[in-house]
Amino acid sequence: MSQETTTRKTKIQLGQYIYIFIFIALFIVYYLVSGQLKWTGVTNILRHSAVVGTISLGMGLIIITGDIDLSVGAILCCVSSFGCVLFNLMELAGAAPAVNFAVTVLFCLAAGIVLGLINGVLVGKVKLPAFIVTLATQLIYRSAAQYASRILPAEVKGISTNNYKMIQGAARDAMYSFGNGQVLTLPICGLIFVIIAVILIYVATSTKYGKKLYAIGSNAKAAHMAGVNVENTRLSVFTLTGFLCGIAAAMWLCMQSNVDPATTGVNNEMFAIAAVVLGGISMAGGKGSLVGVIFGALSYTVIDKIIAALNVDSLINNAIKGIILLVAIVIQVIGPQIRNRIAEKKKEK
Amino acid sequence: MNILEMTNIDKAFVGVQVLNNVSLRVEKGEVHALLGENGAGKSTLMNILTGVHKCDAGKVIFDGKDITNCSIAESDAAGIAFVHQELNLFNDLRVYENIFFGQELVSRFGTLKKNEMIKKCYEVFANMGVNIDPTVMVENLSASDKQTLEIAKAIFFDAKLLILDEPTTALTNEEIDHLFDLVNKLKSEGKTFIFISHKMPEIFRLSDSYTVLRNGEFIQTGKISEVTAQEVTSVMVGTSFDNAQVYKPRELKEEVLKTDRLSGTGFSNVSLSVKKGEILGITGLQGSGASEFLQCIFGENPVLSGSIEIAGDRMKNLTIHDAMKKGVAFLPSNRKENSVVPDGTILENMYISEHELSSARPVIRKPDEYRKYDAQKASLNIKAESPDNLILSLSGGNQQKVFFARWLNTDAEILLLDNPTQGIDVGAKAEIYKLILTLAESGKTVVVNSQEIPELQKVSDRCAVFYSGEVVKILSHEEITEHTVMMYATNAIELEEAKEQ
Repeated sequence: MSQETTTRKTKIQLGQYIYIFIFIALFIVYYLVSGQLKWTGVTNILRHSAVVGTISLGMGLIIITGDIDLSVGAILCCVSSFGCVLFNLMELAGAAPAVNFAVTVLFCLAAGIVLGLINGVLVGKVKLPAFIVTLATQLIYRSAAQYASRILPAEVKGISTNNYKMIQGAARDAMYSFGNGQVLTLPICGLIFVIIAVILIYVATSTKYGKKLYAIGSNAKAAHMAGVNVENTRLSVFTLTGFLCGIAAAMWLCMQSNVDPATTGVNNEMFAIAAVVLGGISMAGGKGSLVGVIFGALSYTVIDKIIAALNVDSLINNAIKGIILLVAIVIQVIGPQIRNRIAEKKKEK
Repeated sequence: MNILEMTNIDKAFVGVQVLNNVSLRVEKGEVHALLGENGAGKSTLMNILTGVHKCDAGKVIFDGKDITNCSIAESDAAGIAFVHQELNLFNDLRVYENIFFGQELVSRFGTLKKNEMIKKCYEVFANMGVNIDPTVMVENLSASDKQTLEIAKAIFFDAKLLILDEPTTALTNEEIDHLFDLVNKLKSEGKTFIFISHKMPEIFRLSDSYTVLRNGEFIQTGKISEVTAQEVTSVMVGTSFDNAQVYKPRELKEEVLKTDRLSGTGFSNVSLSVKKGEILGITGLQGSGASEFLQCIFGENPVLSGSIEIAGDRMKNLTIHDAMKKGVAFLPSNRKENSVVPDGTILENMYISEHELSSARPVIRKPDEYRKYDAQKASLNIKAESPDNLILSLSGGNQQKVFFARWLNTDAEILLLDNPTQGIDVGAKAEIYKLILTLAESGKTVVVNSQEIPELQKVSDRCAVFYSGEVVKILSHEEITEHTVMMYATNAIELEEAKEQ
């Protein structure tokens, strides 16, 4: 009996790496439609995956514990908006470029932690359902950024419209060249994403904290009875995700220098969930690996690129992403079922 | 006149004979107590009667008709109603919606005739002398009203025979009086009842006759007025039970666990003291509070009054984490629900608790864990291929050993075991007893809750018997017999004493 299970487990594991095949397939399509793909075209995939990818890693951890966070895009928007305001205020006050750069980034990280902590307290300690809590905070966080863009004076926003723009100067240039800079032809933000991913994969697979996350997602009652502090762990994982959104917000400011509170980060929670699911993490919690999330996020960027290369209307973009998500899920869910059915038939014979 | 005659019923599940030539005769208009210990075959017999299972041999005649191996629907139609222990009600629907569920009165256009259904409910309730508003949500009803509603539902659809499966478990004394009044009233109107219960005072109060099953065999039947609680208990338990001599008295050391008039949810005023190296058995019927008592010592349920002392320290606002740090381990009942992390490997399942205590060193050292795993595997005799296999690839008994290892890894000194042999096969059970004795031998302290008395008899130095939330008796090892324990656990002892006075 147990021997049989061993062999079956190794079989399923092959199927679990489906996200790599999907990414390779998409990449080949991109290579074919783009005609001549240069190295920068390849590294750009990494660069454009950095923000959503970083968010997706947090989403992955939360989904592993069996919860969900719908506020990640709104945290990105809210933090980068007020980060931009703080930058402009310091610029107007004549702060040194290096100081402004550092303070703005640190603010983004801290603000992300605070917004994530609010989610975490409500889900972990007050024990409200994560779906509702983060739906509510999504509305609150984005609305705060949008409302502020209407009432703040133009010089603080750096622009007269309902947007935020970093004031031109040495500090902005320093951040911009960091956000769009390269190390050994690789984009810095893309590298940051990869480094964070490597750290979090290590945390998830090789630390006691990581095992706790899986245990809670698999059977929270059993984890609790085994002594795991489920409340605090839930709180911590939402806070960690807030922190990752803060990093993403800092990257956004460095890469873009401006924020439109009506559009920045919109649908990012959905892309993050899609990347997580595409990466093979079970929505029921307890199963899956963050390695898949990297490929999930990269795959979605490649889809954008394919559509841009084809010169099709970009509004078809989400339809194609949706179809690919469905196909991936069908393979992941139906595949094992078909395999079991075949195995059963063989047994009958 | 017999309304029900079940004759020579045989039933086997995957080769295991659970009913062997069992007969049951119930007279019309009586309350018939069906008695036997857990696993005696009562439920299987009732399931055959109500069409859930098919019997292998035998005959069932109900109300003059042969209904052998009928379907559930046919048994319903014949007028047999099973009022389950876990009530089959929809909490989110109203009372009348529950009664009419699946058989709603509808108009020609398919719309519900609400007023007519509510009116009919009022009529039936009034006839029964029941005071329930048909329009309230079932979740707002008390446990006893829910029980009444189940009975009313059966009466509504003209049930002739009602099977009550431990109906008083969740009821207060007053509610029990009320239920019994209702049963007596319906009995006088010609309804027949089969009453399944373990509580002797109730059986003697309500029933007219009884049938005793033991290990799937028919033992005895007769009039309740012609026997005593003592006699019935003897017949239920029998005399022949396997008592392999594995128990050895050990030298007990200092006191390590003490509760003083401890009260919590489900139990009250429990004062117990356990010494290092001791095995204390605790037992009681379902809902007697023994399990809740263990949960409270582990910090899972709050202390309402009284105190807990662990290793001489008085514990205030005890949390699970505090208990673990003081060396207390808890193996909960319902393994699947409370212990198994189904997506985890054997190794992950074995280490989850130890990780919690050693979280100051956050990184897992896999080689160390594998080494310790090998040691645990050998000493607990866990049959597993590889520590990286899923926990679910193991049999129930081996899973349970992994959970023993989960707590032994924390170096716990006091092991609280709640039904540790639940749902595992006989061979694995024997291994678990041996393990418990070996652990005590090595100086661990064990408190084990079980409803299987032969189990406690094999391992425990003393046995505390719970009845409705309180410890009614502490028996020494020599005094633990199935008969004595049942006398206290069912409170039959009170009846006996009352008679003597």
